[in-house]
Amino acid sequence: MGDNPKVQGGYAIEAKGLVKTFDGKAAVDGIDLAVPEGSIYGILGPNGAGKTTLLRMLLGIIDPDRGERRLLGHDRPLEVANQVGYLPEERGLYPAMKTREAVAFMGALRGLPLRVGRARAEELLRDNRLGDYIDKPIKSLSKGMAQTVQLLGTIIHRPRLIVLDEPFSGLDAINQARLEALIRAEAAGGATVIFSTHVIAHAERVCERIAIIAAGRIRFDGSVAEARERLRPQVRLRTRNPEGPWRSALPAGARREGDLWQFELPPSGIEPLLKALIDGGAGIEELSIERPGLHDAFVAIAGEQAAREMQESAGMDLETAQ
Amino acid sequence: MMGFLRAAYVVGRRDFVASVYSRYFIFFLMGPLIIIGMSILFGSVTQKVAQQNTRTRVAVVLTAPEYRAIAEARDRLADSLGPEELPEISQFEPKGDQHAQVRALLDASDKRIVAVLTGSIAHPTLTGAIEPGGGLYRHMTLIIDEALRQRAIAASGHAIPATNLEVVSSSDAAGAVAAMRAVTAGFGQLFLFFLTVLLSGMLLSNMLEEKSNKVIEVLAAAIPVDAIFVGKIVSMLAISLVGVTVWAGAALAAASLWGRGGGGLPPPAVGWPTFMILLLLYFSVNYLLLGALFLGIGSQAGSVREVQTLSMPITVGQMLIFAFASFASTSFNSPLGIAAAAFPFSSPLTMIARAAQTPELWPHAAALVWQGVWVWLVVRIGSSLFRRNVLKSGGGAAASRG
Repeated sequence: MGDNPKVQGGYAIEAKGLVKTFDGKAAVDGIDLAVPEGSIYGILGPNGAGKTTLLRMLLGIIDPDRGERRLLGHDRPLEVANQVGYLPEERGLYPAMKTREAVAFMGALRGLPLRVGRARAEELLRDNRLGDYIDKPIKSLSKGMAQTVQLLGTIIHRPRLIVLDEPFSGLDAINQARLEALIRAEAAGGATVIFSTHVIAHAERVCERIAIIAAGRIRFDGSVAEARERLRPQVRLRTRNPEGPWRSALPAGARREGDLWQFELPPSGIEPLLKALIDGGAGIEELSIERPGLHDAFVAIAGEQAAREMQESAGMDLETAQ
Repeated sequence: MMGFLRAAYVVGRRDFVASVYSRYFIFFLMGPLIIIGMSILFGSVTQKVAQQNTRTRVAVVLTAPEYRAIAEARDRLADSLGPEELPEISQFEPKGDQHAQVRALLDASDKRIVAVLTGSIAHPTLTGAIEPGGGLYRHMTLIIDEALRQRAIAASGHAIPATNLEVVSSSDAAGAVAAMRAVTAGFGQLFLFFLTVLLSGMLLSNMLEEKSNKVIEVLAAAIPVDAIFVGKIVSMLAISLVGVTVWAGAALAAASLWGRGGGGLPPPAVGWPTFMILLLLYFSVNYLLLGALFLGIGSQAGSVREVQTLSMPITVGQMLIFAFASFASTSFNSPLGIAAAAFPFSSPLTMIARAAQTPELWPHAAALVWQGVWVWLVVRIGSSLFRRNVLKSGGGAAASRG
């Protein structure tokens, strides 16, 4: 990491060798990270992978035991706190505070004058269908509404960097879709958005780049397409003739389930395989090539167990939201 | 620095508005007034009842002329000693069986008689729950002596001229001034101690709101934890000062209503205006010091139960500090006095006593700076502990799952 803060066109977040240990156990174990300015960046991992600890260190809420971090070009994250918005995993608002005041207060914490904050809060609340609740206390809102209020408080000061810790957690499908739209809108407006999630589908739909984290370490860092490209496309083949010379054309790792064959697309491509099948009299009934999803890539990168934990967490979230 | 102050202001303003505009604030304001009012009301009633129930009563079984001589002697002594100091007396006409009469009087539970005087003034006998040489024995001896003396004077036909003691008042006698100012010093210490104990305890549970509402992480991500602490302490001081203003106003109103001014206390060495300013300053610093300590300790607590558990040792600690400061306030320049002025938590209590008793002002300027440094240090230590122990994964209010 250079000494001169140079963020434009560079990185909104840079981290090198971050380590944080609690009670002798490493929550984050040597993480390097570089989040390009203006991107939507997802951090994927099961619960307990170290996502929250990583975000807290990046934001300066806690200090790393080892390693370096830079936020918007600054070594001390709190110095640029006014340019950052943060939605923690543990949502928190003052229950007796009125909705407009709560949003304005969060802006004031980030340097936005209260008068400006109140006006902007009113505008944001109306735009997000909470106009009727402007003067109502937070305790009168539903959980989803309260989460929206906190999210609006996160962006009221128009931050350059928005950090969201499990933002989709506890939201129903409609609010999740709204949140995805809001993230895209903020990024379109020039902000960098980084969020953690254990729901692969959100990352797949929204993120330009992702980091897959498990057991405190980054297992993958790159674009969603790059993650998928870690796996070869899958071929599904069904033939009329179960036996024949065409069988020798199948790759070594081909798996058979009844009359269905599945295997990775060979590096030589589909054409030589197709020719061999036709020449060998396979009698092709079905042939499809599927690009692997991010979930498959996640399984391949982080392992079966991490993927199972992710699915369990996502299931629990769904129950909570319902 | 401006950013720090602005951040502390945002937090402090939120706390101040949330407290003062809460419907419960009226209870906060009314609480001490109700307690003091009830104490005065019940105190005066119970004091009267207690006085009526506990005064010693002696039955005087003498003839009417002899009883009159005893009663006059008692009244004469009561003018000097005060009527509460002497036993009450009641006359009973002597009956045939004196022994039985004495027994009956002592056994009569409704009359509350402690002893019975029989015989005559010249040969009196006192029967009852008395000890030779005890208080009742000495008082009754004094009364009978006075009655005998008056009888002898009357028999001689000479009157003793009344003593005419000429008085020249001089309030600046060193011993008198020191004694009077010690009263003001004690009042100042007591005032500071009770006010701080009453108000700063609220800070123990102050961080619980943020922790239980999970707002703490939003705050800690946006501003330094030091600023959160300072904002909270200063806002609570401001809330307390609102309370003190209301209570002082009520006290002044009550004093003017009942026509009793606050002039009962001897003037302090630095003069009343300076003393009052110093009282306000030392209250503020004492509040900030203890508040910072309480906030730091309370921020480690995870629940109301833990806060309640912490309250007891903290209150005991405060009382020890008060005792230390009170003890040291009699000798400011002794090693003990200097130690009490230097120890940050007893320093405000010691220095207000000093203001009452010595006129120099420079030690107060030095003490206020010293105490201010300690406020800052305690805030730093408290916020550092908070960041280390609370904002971490695996436990506490802001525990991480991700």
